Amino acid sequence: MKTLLALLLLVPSLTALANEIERAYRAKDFKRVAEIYQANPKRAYTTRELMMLSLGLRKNQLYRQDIMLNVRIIKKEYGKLHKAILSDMKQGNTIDADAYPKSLKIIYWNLMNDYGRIMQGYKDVQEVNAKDRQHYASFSKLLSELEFREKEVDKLNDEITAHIQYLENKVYKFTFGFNLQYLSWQQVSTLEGPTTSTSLIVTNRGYCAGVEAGVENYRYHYYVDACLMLGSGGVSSTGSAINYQQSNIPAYGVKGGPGISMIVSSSRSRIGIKLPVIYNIQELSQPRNAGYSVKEESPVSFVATLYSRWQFEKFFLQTEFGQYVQKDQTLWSLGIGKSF
Amino acid sequence: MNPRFPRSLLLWALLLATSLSSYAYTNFIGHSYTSCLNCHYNPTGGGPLTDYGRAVSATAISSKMFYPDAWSEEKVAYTSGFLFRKPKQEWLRTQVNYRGFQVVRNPGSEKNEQKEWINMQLDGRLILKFGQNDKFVAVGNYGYAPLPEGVEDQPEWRSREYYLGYRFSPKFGMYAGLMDKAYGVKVIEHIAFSRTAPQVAQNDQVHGVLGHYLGEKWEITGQGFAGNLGQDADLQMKGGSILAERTTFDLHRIGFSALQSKNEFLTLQSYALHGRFNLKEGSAILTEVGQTNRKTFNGLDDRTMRYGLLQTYLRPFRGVYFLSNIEYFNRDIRESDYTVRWGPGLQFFPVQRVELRLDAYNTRSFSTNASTRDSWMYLFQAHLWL
Repeated sequence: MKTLLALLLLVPSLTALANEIERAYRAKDFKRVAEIYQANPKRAYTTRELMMLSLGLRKNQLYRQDIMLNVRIIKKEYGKLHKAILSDMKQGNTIDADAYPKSLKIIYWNLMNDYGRIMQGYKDVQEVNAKDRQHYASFSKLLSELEFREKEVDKLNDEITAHIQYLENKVYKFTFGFNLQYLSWQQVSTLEGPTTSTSLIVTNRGYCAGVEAGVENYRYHYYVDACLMLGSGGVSSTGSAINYQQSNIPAYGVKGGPGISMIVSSSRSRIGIKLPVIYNIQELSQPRNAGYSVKEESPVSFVATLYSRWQFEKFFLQTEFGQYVQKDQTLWSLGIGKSF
Repeated sequence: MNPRFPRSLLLWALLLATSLSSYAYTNFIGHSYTSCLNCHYNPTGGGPLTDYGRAVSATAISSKMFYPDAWSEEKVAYTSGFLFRKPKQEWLRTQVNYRGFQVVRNPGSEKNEQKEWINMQLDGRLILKFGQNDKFVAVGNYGYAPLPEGVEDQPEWRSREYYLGYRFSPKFGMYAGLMDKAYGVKVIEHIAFSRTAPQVAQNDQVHGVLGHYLGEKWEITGQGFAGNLGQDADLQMKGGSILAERTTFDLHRIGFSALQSKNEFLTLQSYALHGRFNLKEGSAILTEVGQTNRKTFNGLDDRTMRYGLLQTYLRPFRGVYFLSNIEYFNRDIRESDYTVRWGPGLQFFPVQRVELRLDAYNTRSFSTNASTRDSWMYLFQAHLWL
């Protein structure tokens, strides 16, 4: 009696629910459709209702719930067929795509899309779930065997692959390298006389052997570098009362500092800026003329440079060109190196 | 790569009443275009673009930032023509081209700073083409260009290019008329030592015959010339040149050139090795090292000049190129003095038919007997074409 009474109460309730699902679905109120399922996920829905609820969940980006729902549909309606196709695939048998109903293929397509959307939602490589990738690959393979929506499957495969690759490329990795540069740098001194003062610029050329270390991802490279300079330069005065000239004045020092580059091609060529500090040791002779002396400026100079690099596998060609801060001297260098 | 892009694949490309960029940029090897013939009627580059070249200019080189987001690349190419229309015939193309720049010499100097705007070029071009894959072409231009320093007996309004060309096959063609000499890397910087030393700069065209071979790996150009017949006979530089390149790793080109030219006063012999390297997505490196032996009729200015060029391009975004022009020049290899010129620059193609460019040139002289300050020059260039 009680059972009969419960059934009598339940049937109208189920009917009302079915009507509500249908009404919401027809009105394209997918939010309501999803709410109905979420309120009663374990209820005994018909297959038609499950299909409508599935669409509602996907429209609301509730992909994991939709996965569970579609698995439920497979178990309910296509259990034997699903096992058969998995068995054929495992044994390497040829699969007759026409032997499987379109409705099953659509469910596989829904499942592949659900896993695909989940993976496209990853923001970080650490979110990448191996099981999600495995399930996605399985359904992708199923659809390929069933020759269903092949173009769409390929397109989604490309999108997923690109997205995962993008997440992996975003990760910064430690980099290290060494380089050898041919460079030219300048140093300022002053020739002071009894009544005059003449600016002298020593233009040096030489080599700089150095190392760099930093972090790099697909787009940016942050690093510090340093190199030892060795070269020589000449100086002469014009317009002063005396002739002052020296050539091949030995110069040595250190150049180093931070830099940041943007990687602009798939060959990892890059452009950026560097802010090196130069410490230059170079001694000019004092003039023989009485009353004249050479006053050397600070050996430390700050420079802002434009840096470019062209990568050839592990080897690279680099250029650097810049201006001394608050001075009118320039520095340039051309170098080769190897990165690790 | 077949120099004549299959006609069927050009259906989406705009066939313009007027073509677009009038200059070959050799750095476009960075876009995988190894041969100039991909985009130009002139197999050594420069001059008017083919229909395919115009499409490339619209869809690969220029920025899309000022076009609506909804426009596809096909629409960009289709509407990039003059008056936004497709020509109704295949045999005639025209072009108008302007290039001008503001130059500032010795910037910041109270006494020596000089600023001026120079109209470098204003010309119209006409192309007639017939036959399958444009087998036969007739190209000509006429317009204004300032005369080189020291030259006064020529008009400023003149033609600097006109020729007939016939491609016997996709691999081989012959051209005859007034053309640039085939030598070295044809960079647009006409003040580059690599162009001035061997006299292959913007006003060094000659009347001659040019043969061009384009194979799977090799591209070879041979040229014989009688000088510029518009000059006085004793000044016409007669001679010949050869330019050969080989594709390596399917991406890059390495090559060599040789050029000899002489008149009654001067003999020049030039040799060069060069390379053009594709670093993908528009990034490229161009390099050339060469030497010019100069002999004068009276022996008073005989010398051997040596030069080097390294031109680098990086393309961070479509339409934008960061470049560096690094040059070495030794005026006389018997002396140890030499000059290094370093020119960072920025090149921007905001839309098709517009190029803006900003360059700074630092020139540093190295001498055992003197130490001089660097000289500076700034250039802002505008290039417009229809």
